[in-house]
Amino acid sequence: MTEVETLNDVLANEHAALYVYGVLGARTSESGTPDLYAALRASYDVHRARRDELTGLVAADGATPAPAATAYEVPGGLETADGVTGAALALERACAAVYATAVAGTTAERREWAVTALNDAAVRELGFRGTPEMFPGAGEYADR
Amino acid sequence: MLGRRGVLAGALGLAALSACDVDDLRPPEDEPTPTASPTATTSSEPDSDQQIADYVGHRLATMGRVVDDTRKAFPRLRARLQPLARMHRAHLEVLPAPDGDEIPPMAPVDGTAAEALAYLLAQEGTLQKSLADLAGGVQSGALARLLASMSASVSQHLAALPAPATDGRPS
Repeated sequence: MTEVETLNDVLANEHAALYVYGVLGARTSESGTPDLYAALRASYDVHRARRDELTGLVAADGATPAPAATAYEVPGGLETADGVTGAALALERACAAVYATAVAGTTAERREWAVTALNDAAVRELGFRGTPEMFPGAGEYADR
Repeated sequence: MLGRRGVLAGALGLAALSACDVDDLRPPEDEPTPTASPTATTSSEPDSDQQIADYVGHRLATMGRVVDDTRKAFPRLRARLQPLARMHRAHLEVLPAPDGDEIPPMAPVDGTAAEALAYLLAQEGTLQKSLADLAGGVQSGALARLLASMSASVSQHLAALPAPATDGRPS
């Protein structure tokens, strides 16, 4: 897999993350659970910025940026704030794993981008009741 | 416990290593072969993946010692710093200090608990940045991923560190 293909995979994941965050936000009451709503909104904004960065990086390489799908599979159990929080945590963990994979498949400035994204995602997990992990994005090392 | 070579081979996703050859750490054929970032390391830092792995093992062991010494010197910090101590141990399981590596004796932890904690957190922050920078500079994508994950773990642990007690007692 080339570096631009790796970045396009990350871009495809960002499209999915944005879609899911949109759904999570729609299922969350801004007045009833303001902290959760704010965390979802902030995460949505971060992933939207990453999507735009990746689109630019892929296009700059002369490749076609991965398009967004019409719809994505959304997790169940979103009837409660706890369910939404858990879904957001799972989403950030999945994104961390994608960024970690991108670290391995890129070099130089692109790898630095992926390292930064991985660190950000790991910290963002805490806003959704995540607890510190030994190896964010690379959980297989924790099972050794 | 596996020997250091076995551990490192596993960490890098490679077949078992034999002799102590830096070339053994080259990524497999089907893995992207990154080019070292010219800005990722300084001239005083190691420049091969094996050396970087050894260097990181030494840094992790040293930082683990700082955490342990601080916890011993300030019992009130023991519980608060336990997650950091566990994290360093977990990371050392994957990237141990080199065989025969000696961690220099630490200076006695003095000052107040708050001062010791501030020093420790600054050192952890430096370690986090160093791991991130080294991830950018190694040849092996697998080692880069591991170092980046360790860096993210330090970020997480620092962000999750409980706030100081506010019971009026000096910290």
